[in-house]
Amino acid sequence: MKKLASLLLASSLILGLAACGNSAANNPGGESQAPASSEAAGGQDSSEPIRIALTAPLTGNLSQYGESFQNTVELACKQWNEKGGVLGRTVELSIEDTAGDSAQAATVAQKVVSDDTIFAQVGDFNTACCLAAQPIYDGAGMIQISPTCSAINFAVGSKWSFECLGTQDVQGEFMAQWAYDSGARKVAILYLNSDWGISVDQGFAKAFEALGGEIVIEEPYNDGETDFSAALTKMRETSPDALYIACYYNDGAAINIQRETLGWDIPVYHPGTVYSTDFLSIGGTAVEGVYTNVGFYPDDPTPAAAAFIEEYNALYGTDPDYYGACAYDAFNVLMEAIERAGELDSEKVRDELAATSGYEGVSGSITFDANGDAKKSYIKLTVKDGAYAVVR
Amino acid sequence: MTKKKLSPAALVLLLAVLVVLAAFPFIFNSYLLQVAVYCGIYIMLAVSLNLLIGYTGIFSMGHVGFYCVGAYTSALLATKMGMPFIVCFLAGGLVAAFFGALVGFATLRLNDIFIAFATMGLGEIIRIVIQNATFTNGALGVTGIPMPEWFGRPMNRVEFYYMVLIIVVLLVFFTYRLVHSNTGRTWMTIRDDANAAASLGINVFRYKMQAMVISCFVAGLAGSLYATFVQYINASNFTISVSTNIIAMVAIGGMGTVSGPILGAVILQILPEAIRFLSNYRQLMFGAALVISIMFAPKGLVGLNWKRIKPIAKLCALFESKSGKEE
Amino acid sequence: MTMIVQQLVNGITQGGLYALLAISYALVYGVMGMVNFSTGSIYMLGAVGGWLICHFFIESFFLSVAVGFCVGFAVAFILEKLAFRSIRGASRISSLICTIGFSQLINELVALTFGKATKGMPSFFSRELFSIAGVHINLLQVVLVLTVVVILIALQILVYKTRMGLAIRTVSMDNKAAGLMGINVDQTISVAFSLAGACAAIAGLAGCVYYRSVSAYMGWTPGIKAFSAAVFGGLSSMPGAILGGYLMGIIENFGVQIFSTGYRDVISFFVMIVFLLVRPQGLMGKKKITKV
Repeated sequence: MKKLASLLLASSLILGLAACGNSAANNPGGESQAPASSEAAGGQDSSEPIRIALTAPLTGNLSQYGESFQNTVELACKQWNEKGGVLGRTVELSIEDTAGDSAQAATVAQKVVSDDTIFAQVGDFNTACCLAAQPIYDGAGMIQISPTCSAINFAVGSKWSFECLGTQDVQGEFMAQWAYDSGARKVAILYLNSDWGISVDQGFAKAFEALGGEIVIEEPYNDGETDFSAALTKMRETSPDALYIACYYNDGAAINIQRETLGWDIPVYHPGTVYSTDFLSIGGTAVEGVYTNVGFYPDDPTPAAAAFIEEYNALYGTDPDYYGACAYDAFNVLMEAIERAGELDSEKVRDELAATSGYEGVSGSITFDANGDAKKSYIKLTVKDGAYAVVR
Repeated sequence: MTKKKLSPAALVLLLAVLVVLAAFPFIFNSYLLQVAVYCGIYIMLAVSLNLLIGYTGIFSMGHVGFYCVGAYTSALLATKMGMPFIVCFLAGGLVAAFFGALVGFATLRLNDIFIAFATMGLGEIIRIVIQNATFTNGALGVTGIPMPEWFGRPMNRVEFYYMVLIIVVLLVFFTYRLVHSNTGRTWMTIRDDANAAASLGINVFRYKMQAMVISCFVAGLAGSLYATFVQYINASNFTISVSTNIIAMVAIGGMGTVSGPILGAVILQILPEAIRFLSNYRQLMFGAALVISIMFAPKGLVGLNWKRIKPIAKLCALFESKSGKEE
Repeated sequence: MTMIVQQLVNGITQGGLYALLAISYALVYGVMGMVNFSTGSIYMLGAVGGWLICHFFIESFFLSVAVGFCVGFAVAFILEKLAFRSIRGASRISSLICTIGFSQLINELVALTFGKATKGMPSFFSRELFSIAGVHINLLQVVLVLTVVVILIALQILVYKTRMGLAIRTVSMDNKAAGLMGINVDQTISVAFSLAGACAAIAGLAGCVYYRSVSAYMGWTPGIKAFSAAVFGGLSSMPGAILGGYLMGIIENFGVQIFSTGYRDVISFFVMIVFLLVRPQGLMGKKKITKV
C-alpha cells in the first residue's frame, strides 16, 4: 500500500517536472542532440532580440558581487537599447543565479547552452564557477566572457573564454613592484586557500622574487576561518618588512583587526578584492593605512567612468563598485564586437572580441592578449581617515 | 498479503516511470537532462547512505568524504594517467570502499552519536587534506576531466544520462535484493538491537563493516560519475553540508525503505530547480526537510498514511481494481 | 620565546570560547545523553543579538552579554520543547537529525533576514594593556578571559551548590531514578538545556566582540571544534569540558605554528578521533560512557 502511494507520488513528481520543463524549454523535442552548431543562436531574424545570458552569484556568500553585476549589466543593456540596439536589434538579458557554487554553475551553463535563443554569456564572478562552466561553453562553442575571473588557468583554457580583470600575474607584478619600491625586501604572504587565492599568491611571489625580494613565508588559510591570530603570530616570527594578504573584504577586515590586537604595525598590501566600503566599516581603525589597488575609482573617475557613475547613481542610488564596472565593460566589449562582426556568428564575434585593443572602458583600458586575458591598468589606493585615497 | 496483490499495479506504474525516464532526453532540453543526471547521482548517494543509517543503524555524517574520494580518484586517474573511464569508475568505488573499511575499522565500535561525529571529522579531514595536498592540485581543483570514450569518441550528455540511468536502476535492483536477503535482515536485527544480535551469535562488527564497505563503494561510484560529468572538481564541492543534504533526502523519503531515499533525492534535487523562487532557499529547504520529517513524519514520506487523503485513496483503489481485472 | 608566549595568549583567549561551548555540550550530554548539533547556531544567535543591541540601541559590552544570555536561553528553551520533548521516545539518532535540521534552519533564516554579508562590531576595550618583550596583551583579551572565567565559576556554583544543580546532577546519573525521587525531570532537563544554550550564546557574543565581526555562518566551525574539545576533555564531566576547551585552543594555535593554517581544522578533528578511539571518556571523564 505504502509502496503504491509512494510510486504514485514519485511519478506525479516526474510528470510535474515534465510540465515545468515543457514550459521552460523553448524548443521541446528539438533539443535531444547536444547543441553543437553555435550559429543556430537567435538566427538572423532581425525582429528577434539578441539574448545574452548573465550568470552571477545572486544568492550565497558572494551575492553582493552578483547584485553589482546584475545592476551594471542591466544598465549597460538599457543604454544599448536606448541607442537603438545592436545590429538594429534589441538586446535582452537572461539572468541566472549560480550562488557561487561550481555544481550550480555547471547546471546553469547547461541551461544557457541548451537555450537556442541565447547568443553569448557574461559571467561568472568567481573562478570556481567559471572553470566549472568552461567545458560546457567550450563544447557548445559559446562565448564566455567573465568580468572578474583573474585566475591564471582560466582564459587560456578555451578559445571561447575571455576575462576583463587581468590575471593575477599582472596584478601581482604591479603590487610586487609597489611593495619593492616602498622598500620592502622580505614579504610574508597569507592567502585564502582557493584557486583564486593560489593564483594571487603565485602571481605576487613570482614577481617579487624576480625583483630580487624574498618571500619569507606563504601561509594558506581555509575558507570559513575566523581566527587568524595564530597565523599572524607565526608570520611575525619570520620578521618580514611587509605583508601581502590575498582575501576578500570580510576576511581582510578580520585579519587586520587581529593584527591590530596583536600590536603588529607593518605595511599591509591587499589585492583589489578588499576594495569595498564594508571593508572600511568592519575594519575601522585596523585597516587604516593598508594598501590595495583598483582599476576604477569613483571619486577620481576618467570622463567615461564619470558618466557611468552618474547614470548608475541615478538608477540605484549608490556608487558602483569595481567588479560591477568590470561587468559593465565586459558586456560593452561584447556588444562592440558584435557590432564590428556585423552578424550573429559566434566564430566571427569571437575573432572580433579577441582583436579588442585599447578599448576605453570605465574600469580602465582593455586589450585582450592571445589567451583572452585583459591587460589592465591599476590605481594605487590606501585607507586614510576611514576612506580610500589615491596614492600618487 | 496485500503486497502480492498490489505488485502488478505497482509494476505498471514502475514501467510507466521507467518509460518516462527512458524517453526523457527526447522530451526535455539538456538543462533538465543535467538536473536528471545530478538527481541520479544523489539517488546513488541517498540509497547508499540509507544502507548505513536506515538498515544498519550506523549514523554516518562523513558520507561526503567517500563521495569526494571517489571523485578525486577517478578524476586524477583520468587526467594524470589517462586511464579509460571504466577503470576510473571502478577505481573510484574501490578506493572509496577501502577508505570506508579504514574508517569503519576505526569507528564502528563506537556508540551511535560518536560514530556520527567521528565520521564527520574524518570526512572533513579527507576534504582538508585534499584541499591542501599537492598531488590533488590542492585548491585549484582538477580540470579537464574527460568524458568516457566509446566507439572511439567521447560520450555525449544524452548517452551519459542513459548510462547513469542504467547504473541507478541496477543499483536500486541490487539494493532491493540485498536488503531482502539474509544479510539485509541481519543488518536490521543489528539496527534494532545490537546486543540481542550479538547474543544470537551474529558477528556485529563484521556485518557493520560489510554495510560500510558496500555503502562507501557506491558513494565512490557516484563521486566518479559526478567528476566525469561536471569535468571539473574542487574540494569545496565536498563540504559537510553535502552530507547533511543526503541525510535530509534519506530522512524525508523514509529511512530503512528502498523507495524512500529515491523519493527524497528526487524531491529535494528537483524542487529547487523546478520552482524558481525556491532556489534561493535551497539550504533552508534541506533544513526544514530534516526537521519536518523527524517531527511530523518520522517514517518519511513513504511511511505516511497517504490513504487518509481521499483522492489518493481513490487513485490507489483504481489501480487495485485495475490490477485485479488484469489478473 | 616571544612567539610561544604569544601563541599561548592567543590559545587561551580562543580556548575560553571553546570552553563555554564545550560546557554547553557537556551539560546537554549529561542530562540527556544527547548531543545538540545546533549549539553552533545558538553561538551565532548570541552574536547576532549582541550586534543588534550595539547597532540599534547602545554600544555596551555588558548589556550585550546580558542580551546574549537571554537569547541563548530562550532559543534553547524552545528548541528543547520542539526537538526533544515532542519526539521523546524516538531514537537518539532522530533527535540528532532534528538538531542538525534546526541548525541549518536557524542559520539560513538568519542569513535571509540578517543578510549573508559579514557585519562589523564596534570595538570594546581595544587599548593595549601592556606589552612585555614583544608579547602584546590587549585589555579586551583580559576582559574576555575574565568574563569566561566568571561564567564558568557561576555555573560550577549553580551545579554543585544549589538545589537545581543537585537535580541536574541527579538526572545526569539516572533520570528514571531521579523521577522516582520526586525530581521534576522534565523541568530539570529544560533548565539544563536552556543554560547550555545561554553558555553557547555568550561564547558567540564573546567571539564576535573579539573578532569584531558577525555573520550568519560564523557558528559552524566553532560549534564542531568545541565538540571535539568536549570529547577531548570528557563529555561527561564539566571540569573536563572546560579543560578540553582551553587545551584545544592552545593545541590549535601551536598546531598552526608547527604545520600550517590550512591544516588547522585537521588538528582538532584528529584529536577528537584519537580520543574517541583510545579514551572515549576523555581526559577527565568517568569510565562509563555508553548509555544504552
